[in-house]
Amino acid sequence: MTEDKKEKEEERKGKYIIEREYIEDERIIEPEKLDIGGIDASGRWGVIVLPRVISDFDHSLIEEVKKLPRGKHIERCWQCGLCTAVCPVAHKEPNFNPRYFIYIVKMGYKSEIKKLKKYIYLCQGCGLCTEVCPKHVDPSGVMMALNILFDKL
Amino acid sequence: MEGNKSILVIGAGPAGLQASKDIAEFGFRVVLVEKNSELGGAPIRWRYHTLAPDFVPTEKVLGPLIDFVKNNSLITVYTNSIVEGYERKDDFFKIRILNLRNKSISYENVSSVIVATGFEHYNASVDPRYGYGINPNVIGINELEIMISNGKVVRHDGKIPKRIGFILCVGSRDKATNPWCCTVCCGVSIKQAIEIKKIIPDSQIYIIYMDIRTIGLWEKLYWQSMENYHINYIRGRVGEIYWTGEKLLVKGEDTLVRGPFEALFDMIVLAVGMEPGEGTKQVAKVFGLRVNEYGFLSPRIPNIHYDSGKDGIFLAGACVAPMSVEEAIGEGSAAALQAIKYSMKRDRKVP
Amino acid sequence: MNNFTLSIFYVLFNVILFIVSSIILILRIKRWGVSYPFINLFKEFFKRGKLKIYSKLKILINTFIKDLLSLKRAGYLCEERFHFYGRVLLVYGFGGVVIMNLINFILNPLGIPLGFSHPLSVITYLAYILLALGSLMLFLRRFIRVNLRKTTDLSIWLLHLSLFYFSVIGILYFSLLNSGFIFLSSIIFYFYLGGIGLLYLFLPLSEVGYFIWKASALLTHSLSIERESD
Repeated sequence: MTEDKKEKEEERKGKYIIEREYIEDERIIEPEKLDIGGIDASGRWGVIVLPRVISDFDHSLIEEVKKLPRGKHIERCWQCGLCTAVCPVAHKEPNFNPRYFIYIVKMGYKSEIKKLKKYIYLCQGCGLCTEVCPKHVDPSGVMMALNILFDKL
Repeated sequence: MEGNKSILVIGAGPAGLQASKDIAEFGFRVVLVEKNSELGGAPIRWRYHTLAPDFVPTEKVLGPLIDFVKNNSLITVYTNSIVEGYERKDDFFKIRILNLRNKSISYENVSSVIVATGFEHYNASVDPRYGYGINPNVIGINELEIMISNGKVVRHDGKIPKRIGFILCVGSRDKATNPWCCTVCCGVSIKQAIEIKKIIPDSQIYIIYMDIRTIGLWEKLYWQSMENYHINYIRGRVGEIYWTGEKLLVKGEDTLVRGPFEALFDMIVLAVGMEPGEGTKQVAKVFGLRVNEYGFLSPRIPNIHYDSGKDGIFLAGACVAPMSVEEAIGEGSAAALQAIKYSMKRDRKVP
Repeated sequence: MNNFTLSIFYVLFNVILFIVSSIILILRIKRWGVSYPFINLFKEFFKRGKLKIYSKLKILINTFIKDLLSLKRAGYLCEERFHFYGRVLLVYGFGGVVIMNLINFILNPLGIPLGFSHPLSVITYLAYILLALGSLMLFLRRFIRVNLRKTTDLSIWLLHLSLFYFSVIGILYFSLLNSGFIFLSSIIFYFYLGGIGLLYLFLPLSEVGYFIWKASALLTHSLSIERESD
């Protein structure tokens, strides 16, 4: 098993990039042949990293969430972060961040949603976030709605 | 001498108008000196459509004040005039008033002075980031207010904008320009965003902010804007604005995503803040008033605004600190009472 | 109506309402636009991969016991133990009630009263009492604290109250039956049927419908993770 893993490590895209762990796999392109203005740049130096700039806002996801059960107050959220502050799951797994999930859905950042899709399952429905939310967003319910939404995306 | 029942009020903004009304109703004479040709100060000069937070039309608040001042026989109004100098004689001030149009000089004897010279909006062309004055469709909240008063919000080519961005804290809270906070910009910008949404219902409005400081009871504007009018908030700052020939490319950082954004907008509104105007600086020089490090008039004790520290001179309104219209009206009334008390004390023969 | 026709009526009632309930659940999930619960699990199970059927079954059972049965996803990490125990009682009580009703029907189709000390009766009573306690605990917890009361959705109040009603009616019915009040119990029987019908019709529209979908999604997810990591 370790032999397989080692091989996989060497097969990883962009393995020569320093601080490689900050870049998502989808943004690295390693073309077989790369020709820049007549100069052959294939191989180790021909690795392209796509920018991670957000170039547009997409508010269609918010409309979908508002139709799902218990997701109708998602628009009230003002990103204060109280829900994440009391969430017991967020303290163990920092990638599960209710406030951030609501934000990326509100603004429609699909690349971030793809990155964090797999953590939405961790919600335990304990309801602490709903207790403390100052705007009555019902984050516990919104997490339920986001479970359904992220399954579709 | 008759000078002891007259009070000079410099500036006919909300503070000055309220002070004049109170003094005239009390029975004293008022000399009201205003630099511009219209009374009413910034709300009238920039045609404020409504006042936050309840969308009260400006005429309802300032209209009665202006009418009273114009029609009252105890109030002498000098428009297009400034106070050029004074002499202190016994118990009263001999004021020299210069008319800016025809350069004529008048003299008045008054027993006390109220300074209510107000503010000016920060001129964003000083800051090259936003391209104000160079890029079309980058406007300030003062210019937007005029558009809203006319009922039509349009781009420079006459088209209706679909995506509008508000940038808060322009010129304010910045060591390079104005280090202070303008108190009311956040509330006013949100109020304008709601009004645009009412005029153009299918527009997308984004407010790019560092903090949202809707003071006191104005908080309900913030909640309303998110819940009823679906205005989007991006916490972040804008670095540059480019004009692509058709739209504005806004480059900034979204703090919550910890990443850059470059999005196209149809129109950008800069929330330019308040700064002490030319009138304030000139009056401070004439009367020798203390000015703090920001350029605002500095009262003797910072928390008591009307007391300038100089005998017989009182301060009111936005020349002391940025404030909303309701606060300025209150300060005008307070300064009026202090001026009346001072004048009456001087009238008595003190043993 | 003698006991035989009543039993047939009872079976038909349950079967028809079960079908109606499933249809409601499927329509609701269709409106969400996601994959149907158990069909997706089936497809994932039989997809070609490196794992054998036996190890896939092992993963499923593992996830089922560790994640679902232990209610790990129901507030296991949450500091408020009262909430967690209320949920535990509710889930196990409800499961017990369903199982005991089935067993009672299979072993005793004509509904002859068994008396209070019969083992089947004891377990049935236990299940109903657990359910009543659990739903009452959860309801009171939300009712007493102001910030919880204000932020709770209507569907949650209805869920707790209907489960509580069902358990109380069940206890009442079985007690009347076992004490020999045949006439009274035959009247309460219709209220009992009403409680069952209410649950059949309401549960797919409430949080329980969502949990059924999420449970199968979790199982599917645990299989697909194993498959993708190969």
